[in-house]
Amino acid sequence: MIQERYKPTFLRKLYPNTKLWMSLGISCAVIFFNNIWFSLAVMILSLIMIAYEKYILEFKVVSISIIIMAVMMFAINGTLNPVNNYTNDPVFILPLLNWKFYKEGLEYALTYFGRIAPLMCALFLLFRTMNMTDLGIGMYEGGIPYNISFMFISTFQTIPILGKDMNQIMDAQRARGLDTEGNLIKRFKAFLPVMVPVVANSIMRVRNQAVALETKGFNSSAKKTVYRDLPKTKADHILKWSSILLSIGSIVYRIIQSFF
Amino acid sequence: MGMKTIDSSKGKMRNTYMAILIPLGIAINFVGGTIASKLSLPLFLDSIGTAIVAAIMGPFVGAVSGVGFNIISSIVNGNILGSLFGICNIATAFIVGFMARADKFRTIVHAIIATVAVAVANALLGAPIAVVVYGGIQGSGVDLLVAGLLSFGNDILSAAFLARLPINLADKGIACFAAWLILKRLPENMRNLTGGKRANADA
Repeated sequence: MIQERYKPTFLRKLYPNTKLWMSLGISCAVIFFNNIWFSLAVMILSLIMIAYEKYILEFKVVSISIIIMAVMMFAINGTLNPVNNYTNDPVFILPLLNWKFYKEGLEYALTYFGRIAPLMCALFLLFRTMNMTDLGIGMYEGGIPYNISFMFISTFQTIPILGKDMNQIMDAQRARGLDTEGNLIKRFKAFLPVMVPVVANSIMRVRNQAVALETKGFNSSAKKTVYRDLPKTKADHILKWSSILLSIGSIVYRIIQSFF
Repeated sequence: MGMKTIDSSKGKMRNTYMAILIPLGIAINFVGGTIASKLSLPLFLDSIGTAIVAAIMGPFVGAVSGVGFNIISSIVNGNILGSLFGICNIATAFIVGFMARADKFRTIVHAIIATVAVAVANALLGAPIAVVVYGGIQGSGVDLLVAGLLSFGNDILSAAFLARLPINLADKGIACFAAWLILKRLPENMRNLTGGKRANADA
């Protein structure tokens, strides 16, 4: 298969474990500070970085789901949430439909939206600029047992294989007259004829895979070596320790805040 | 054939099978979700792999596979808080896995009991998680039902629970049933990986 090679930008050159620490730090900070301005800053910064790293096209899917979530959250919570004080005047009324939006529900929605949307942008950026095989190797070098890091890498290799199988089987079943575009009941009926062959095929392959792994010494107790060489730079150390400090700081801030 | 001498239920080979089947369970979950969205079904159908792995490898391996799916799908989608829904998948794996270990995942009656148990457990666990993470509204088809229930005067938690009950019943029901159908079609020697008393007695 053809593999794309990206230009090594700053984010791409970071050691994968550093990005894991960074995502922990950002998640802790966004959730525990619970400050809408901080969330907004994280969101705008990640959007700028996404544009800089040229991921706009792939980000479209995520941004659509963020927009759908925002519309649903604000519409339903603003109009129907029981925390709304219906004796007050509504903040605004949607013309034509006459939906009344109340302040409490909108604030409720804003709290939750401010937690989820910035994290979606920031983590999309961090994980998309990461090679999953590198991450697995980074985990192994960081002290996680080989079995577990192997499972992690293997997952990202199995998903495309099964996806390819699925497309083939779907085409084959369509050629045999399976209706995949009819009404809801017909589409439900089409689910199992596609799913059962995919699963059965993959389970049939398990035995061969086990033999292949065994011949390559998967269970050998000798220390495994890795072929890839991932360099660690000064920036990695700085970012790692600053994100650890950020997560500890946000937890301490939250504890202090809950006492006073 | 040399292949027959490999016993999957014993010590070291069990490790190898685990290392293959856990990623496979995660991938089957993914493919189930993809097929459901390709057929534009209003369901997730993303716990079939968890149920299958739990049935053939035992509840704990199934639970690892379920949590792994939620973590990896949250990595792919960037929504890290969504990995909390892994708790739902642990429940699915435990119910199906322990039933299979006790040899109670064979007839259609067993499949129906498992379906109902899994659906109730998922609704019970899913509603509080959805309220904690998303405040009750998560940006999918379930929300319309939640909105309808809210307009009848329910509070957020009970609306989230009541809305998830019928959807989980269909969703996890099909997942459990598919797992059961596939298990029936598996070759005899692959069904013996449940890690129950039989497997331990051999080892």
